[in-house]
Amino acid sequence: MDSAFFFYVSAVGYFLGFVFYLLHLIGSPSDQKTDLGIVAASSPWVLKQTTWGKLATGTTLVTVLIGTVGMVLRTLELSRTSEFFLPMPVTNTYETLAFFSWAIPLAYLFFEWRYKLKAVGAFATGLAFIFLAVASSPLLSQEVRPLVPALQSYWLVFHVLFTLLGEAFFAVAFGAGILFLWLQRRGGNLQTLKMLDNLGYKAIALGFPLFTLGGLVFGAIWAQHAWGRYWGWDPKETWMLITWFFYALYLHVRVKWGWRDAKTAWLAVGGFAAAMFTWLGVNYLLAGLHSYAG
Amino acid sequence: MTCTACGTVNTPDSRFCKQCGVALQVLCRSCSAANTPDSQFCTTCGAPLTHKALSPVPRATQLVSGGALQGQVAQIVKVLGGLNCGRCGYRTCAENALAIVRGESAPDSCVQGGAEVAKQIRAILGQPERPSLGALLWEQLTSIKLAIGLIVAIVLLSVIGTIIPQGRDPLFYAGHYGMTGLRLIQLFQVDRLYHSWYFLSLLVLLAINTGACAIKRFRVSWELVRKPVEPRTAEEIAQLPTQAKLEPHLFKRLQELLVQRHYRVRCQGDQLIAHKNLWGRLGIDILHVSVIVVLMGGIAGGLLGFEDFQIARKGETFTVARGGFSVRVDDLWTVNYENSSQIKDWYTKLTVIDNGREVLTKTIEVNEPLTYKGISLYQASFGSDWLSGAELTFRIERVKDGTAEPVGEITTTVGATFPLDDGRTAKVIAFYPDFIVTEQGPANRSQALNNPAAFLEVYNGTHKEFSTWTFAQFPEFQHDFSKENPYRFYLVGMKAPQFTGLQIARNPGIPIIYAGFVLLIFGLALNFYVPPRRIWAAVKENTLYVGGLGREPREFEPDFEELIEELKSYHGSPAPQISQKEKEVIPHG
Ligand code: HEM
Repeated sequence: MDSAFFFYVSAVGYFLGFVFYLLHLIGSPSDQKTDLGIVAASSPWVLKQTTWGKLATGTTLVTVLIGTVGMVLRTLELSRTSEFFLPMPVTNTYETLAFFSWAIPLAYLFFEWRYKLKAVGAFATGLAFIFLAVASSPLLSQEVRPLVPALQSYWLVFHVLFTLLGEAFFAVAFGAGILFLWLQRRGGNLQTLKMLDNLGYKAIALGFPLFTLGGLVFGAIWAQHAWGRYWGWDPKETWMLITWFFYALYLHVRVKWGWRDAKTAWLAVGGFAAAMFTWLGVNYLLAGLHSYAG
Repeated sequence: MTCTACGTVNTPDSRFCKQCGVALQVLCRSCSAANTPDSQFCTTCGAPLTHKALSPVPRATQLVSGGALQGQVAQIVKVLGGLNCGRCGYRTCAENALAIVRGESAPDSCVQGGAEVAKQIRAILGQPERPSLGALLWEQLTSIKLAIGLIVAIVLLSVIGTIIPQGRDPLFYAGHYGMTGLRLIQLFQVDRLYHSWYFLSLLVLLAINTGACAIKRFRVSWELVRKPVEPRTAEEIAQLPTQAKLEPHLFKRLQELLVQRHYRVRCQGDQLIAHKNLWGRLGIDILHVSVIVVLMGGIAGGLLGFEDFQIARKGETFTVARGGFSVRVDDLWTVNYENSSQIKDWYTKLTVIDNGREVLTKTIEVNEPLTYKGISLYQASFGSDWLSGAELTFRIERVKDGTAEPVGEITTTVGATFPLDDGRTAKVIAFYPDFIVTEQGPANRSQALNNPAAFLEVYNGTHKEFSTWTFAQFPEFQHDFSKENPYRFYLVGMKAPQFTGLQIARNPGIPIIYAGFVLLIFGLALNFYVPPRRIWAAVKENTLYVGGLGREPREFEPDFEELIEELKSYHGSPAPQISQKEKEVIPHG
């Protein structure tokens, strides 16, 4: 069995996880609306346990393990074509998409374990499914190709690994942001909203250092090694800086201006959009040195 | 109802504090309805009651001592009027007053009071009526507003720079954006936006801004890290953003739980003070300073470094003028993956010659440069010089009475003339490694050997008799313009000298930039992964007040709530469950 098979199975797994999380969300008792708009429930429904929720967590956990097997296999397949051994398969869009769709549920599961909050699960598994579906679609080549010279560097692995791990946390914040905005429109209860708001901030606070390390620091070091310049205002580099500034902005308006709730939720959504544009949009819409995509 | 300024408990229907006269309400910034000070959302219109948060400093509530407002803060609260309209950004006038005393809010921040109030506040603070230019400048330089404005501007300009291609020649812009577009682009230097004076100024300004912020904040952080955490009274604890009221017998249990969680706990009578990770606060300052370090590295590199590109063939020697040495290309080659046309790596063997002596020989490859005297040579590209240096081998046949007779093989170059066997001569007029026909006639699509073609002419003396095209990939297709040409030229061999593309660069800023990176990551990790925590508890009137401060109010909430839940679930029996278990175990031992 090859890696593609395991990725295919994990796409199915994330889809199931997505459906279960959705059933969990819908199955939760909704908030009571009053004339005043909102009423605080004794225990926020995001913390409710349902059978669907347990099933969803189990499915996601197993699927992440299947994805891990897929990635190990892919690493072995790669090492058969190139002598240069890369410990992670991160050489083209297909492989990085597969890695990202493994990292998002993983980052999410950390929050679920830490804060017992399952509400964002549907977004995490949904995003993972979408990314894997795009990866497995005919749009992208799944072929194992030997590495072109510039990619034979360990800095590349560190660069992609940490950047995407950081972005996986941003994806969780994105999910929390969307859910926050949707619930607020519906008049969700105060405690639920507060937890989502806080979850979004925590996710960004955990992801920002990783993203800085991967995108900014390792990116610059790799560019210095490969091309002799650590920074060149290449569209990819520039967009990564834009994304980085965007999240720095998020942190400052939150900590210093006390922006919260809807405002920061919108910023979390915007930041993730910028991150995705940096990653995929730039490859297909703007040209530059980094366009190894195939 | 507890007063947000002084902690005095007032009757529920009070509108002003009986102790200090501050309004006991928070006005909604959307609809101006009055809300209780602890509301998070407006109970009239549902809008979130968001306000600026006071940065947690050692004694966030320096406001009170025995129920009375203290010193400058008290005077400023009086001047501010205590309407709590929230338009300054803080929840209450008292909070703004504290922020002003700390220098976090400006003396003219009160929208309601305007210039008159600003004047009085400056008088209280002992500031000159009109602040000096330096003070004004410093205030601007350390303002977060400037930081956010700068970041937004940098982001927007950066986006423009990725949409409009950079560094092309004027004709390109004229073609794409018209003459007016070109003029605008040149006027605002949009074709080299990232090196324009205004973009670079924004970057420098942001770095200065960041550094100034770090300096201003450092005093507060340092105090927080070094000074012992002071005890707080029950009233003070009640004002903390995260706090809870519990039964007094839980005091002991709280102490145990905090020790379990690696807090440093100390008790003074019925007051408890606990803290951990306080030095995590320095993270923000370290990271802000690192921004300046990185920028200085960038400037150093820009001023003292250089970047060059050199193309060289085997055997060639070129000088690196900036380093005062020369480099000889001993050899260059590519390696393909097995059974594949895909390139695995490019190699160039270089020898550095300094002062006539060979000092260093190294084979470089992509990601593996050579460095001498601080100057690095990187393997950047590789190619074959088909256009000027191709060596072509033709097999020649002559058709006689319908059968082809071999004439021979010849290796020649473009432009050279060679004899044929019957006294005629032939000349290679042109060679195309990647032949394509365009509107302007034959052309090259690329420098790679994708569709090689040659054009030859056959002479009898000085008279041109025939001309013909020949394609390596389509040998039978010999396009003759004169049908009677008896010669057939087959392109059977092609060679071209290879050249190597070297990026030559020196960047003395690199060590500084890398040092900045280390600081940046260290600071970020400290700030986000080692969040400072302070917890106070005090017993008063048969109630246990517990409250705490983290890095940011809501950031601490989940941890705090977890702690409180665990406390509440403990049903204060004198023999806790753990010891019961121990009892059960004892008989076996
Ligand atoms: C490239 C520039 C900058 C970066 C990357 C940066 C990054 C950060 C980060 C990551 C935090 C921590 C936020 C949190 O704890 O959630 C922070 C906090 C802060 N930053 Fe910056 N910053 C930059 C520029 C500035 C500037 C120019 C100023 C001054 C106007 C500033 C003032 C502050 C302040 C006051 C805090 C909050 C400290 C506190 O918790 O009390 N920063 N910054």
